[in-house]
Amino acid sequence: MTLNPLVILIAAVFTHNIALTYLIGMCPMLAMSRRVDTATGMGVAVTFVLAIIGPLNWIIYRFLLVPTHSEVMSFLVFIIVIASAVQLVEMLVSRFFPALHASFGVFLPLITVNCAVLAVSLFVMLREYSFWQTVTFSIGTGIGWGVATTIIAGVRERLALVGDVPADLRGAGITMIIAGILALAFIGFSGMVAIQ
Amino acid sequence: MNLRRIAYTRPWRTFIAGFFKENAVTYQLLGLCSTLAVSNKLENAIAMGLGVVFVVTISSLLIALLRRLIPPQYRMITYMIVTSTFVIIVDQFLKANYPLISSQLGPYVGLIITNCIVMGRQEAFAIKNGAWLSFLDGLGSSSSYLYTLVILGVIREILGFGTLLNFRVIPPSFPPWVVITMAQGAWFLLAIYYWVFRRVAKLKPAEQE
Amino acid sequence: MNLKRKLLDVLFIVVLGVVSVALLLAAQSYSAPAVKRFRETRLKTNILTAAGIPWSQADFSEVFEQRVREETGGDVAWFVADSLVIYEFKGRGLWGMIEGIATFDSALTRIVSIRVLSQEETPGLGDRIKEPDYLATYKGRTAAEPLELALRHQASLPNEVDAISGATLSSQALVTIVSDAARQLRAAKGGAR
Repeated sequence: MTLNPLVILIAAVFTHNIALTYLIGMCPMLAMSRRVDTATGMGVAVTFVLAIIGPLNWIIYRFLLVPTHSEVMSFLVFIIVIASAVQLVEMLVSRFFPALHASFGVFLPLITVNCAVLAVSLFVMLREYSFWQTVTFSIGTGIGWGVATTIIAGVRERLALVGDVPADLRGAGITMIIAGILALAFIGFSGMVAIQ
Repeated sequence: MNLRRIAYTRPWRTFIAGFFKENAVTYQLLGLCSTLAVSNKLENAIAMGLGVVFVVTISSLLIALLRRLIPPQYRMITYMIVTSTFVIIVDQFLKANYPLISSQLGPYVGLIITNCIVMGRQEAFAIKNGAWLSFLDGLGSSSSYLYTLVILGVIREILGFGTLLNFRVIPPSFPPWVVITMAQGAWFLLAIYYWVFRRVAKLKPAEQE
Repeated sequence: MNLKRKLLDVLFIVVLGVVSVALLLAAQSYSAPAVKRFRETRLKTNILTAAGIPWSQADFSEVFEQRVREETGGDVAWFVADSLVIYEFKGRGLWGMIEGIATFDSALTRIVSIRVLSQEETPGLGDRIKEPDYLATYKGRTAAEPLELALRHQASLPNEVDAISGATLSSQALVTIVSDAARQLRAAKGGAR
């Protein structure tokens, strides 16, 4: 594959945004988009974790699963790696960077269940990315997810100032509408660039 | 036996909680990715819904059976290992014996393993309750997912394709709503469903933020 | 927390992991022969249908032996039946691999038919690339040059194919895969002569 890794990075944020184009990682997106600082915190945490896990799963796939013809276990192995890596990262951050841990440590366990993390590994496997393409794709995906969640959080905060959302639509309901409008807007990006 | 008394039993209450008021999609907010992607045609909705029911009920059962062995700090990873192993084994079995069904369901396998409902019920219920109740809890929540998908599927297929289970029900002269067949457009339908559901279930609205 | 407890916990995970891996490998080896047989059957029966040769569940294997022959050129292989050339293609879709067979005339100028054997595209949208109604639009298109998706107009030129509304990426994937397949086949057949 001859795609420039930087192109993949930009594409993963805008034209192939994992949350708004592929609609993966929705559950945490709805949950974390109440306030902008929560959203950005989670976005940073997801990007950080993805930057490690994406390439790590690539290495494991390329040097362990493929040579032993055990691709059937890709899912299982990726999932175990993700859960273990997140736990490890949390331990390391709380030990060596306590200030950092205080600000976004609480998000780390939630990343294990963010489908976007697993999806990155699966896409990398499917599209046969090289190592550096995987690195930029993972980082770009994390940023893209964070950007989507932050935009939604921004709109929700503004909406909360204005008030007047119908009672039964409050919370998740209005978030779905915001997400829908945003997702429709992002369709405008489609076809600009091909990263597969 | 007085049937009304069943309504007060713990098994029934466990089942009905997930089935109605604590609807997986509109109350627990789980399984959204697949709801949006897969409910565009009724046949897909039914297939995915049934797949999820099967996986959630048995996965919850398995975790409930293992619950006393699972170390607390390794809960998440255990759920994931148990669920994905189970689903992949079932998938391999289908591939070998019912290849046509397997090729229809192929794309869904990944969606089912990562469906938050599976882990959601394991963490919220199966890890601290017995096998029978966990099975019922899983059945209730996953059934609420199934009927949600079916309702959305009917609306989306009729409006988006003009068909229902591939039988044409709206004349071709009616312009199809392509946007509602795509996940992006489905958000709006889901929001309306959420609104109506919370009204019907008389759920307390969230606070003004 | 004492050391013994910690070790037991880790042991639990290790045992769980080992058991799961063992079960998965067992499941895979259990299903491998049946999967292989199914894929072979699917390929042969689809080739026969694409070539317009009648077959039945009982005799398709013999009919295939009699009426279809395999040719190679380099490390590329294709099938020949009557005056048709049938080529297996495989490529990346949006969510997974798309596999199928493309049938051309013997001079490799035109596409006679496309059949999609397996795909994992978005249900209801991208997965409509497998529908015969859509694939029929490939019939008669050129095999001598790369195909393109007609996006803002109805496909009219011999190298244009319509896209499925709401499934541009999957439609594009199929077009690319089919064009690449035709190109590979032309190169291999040209070399073999």
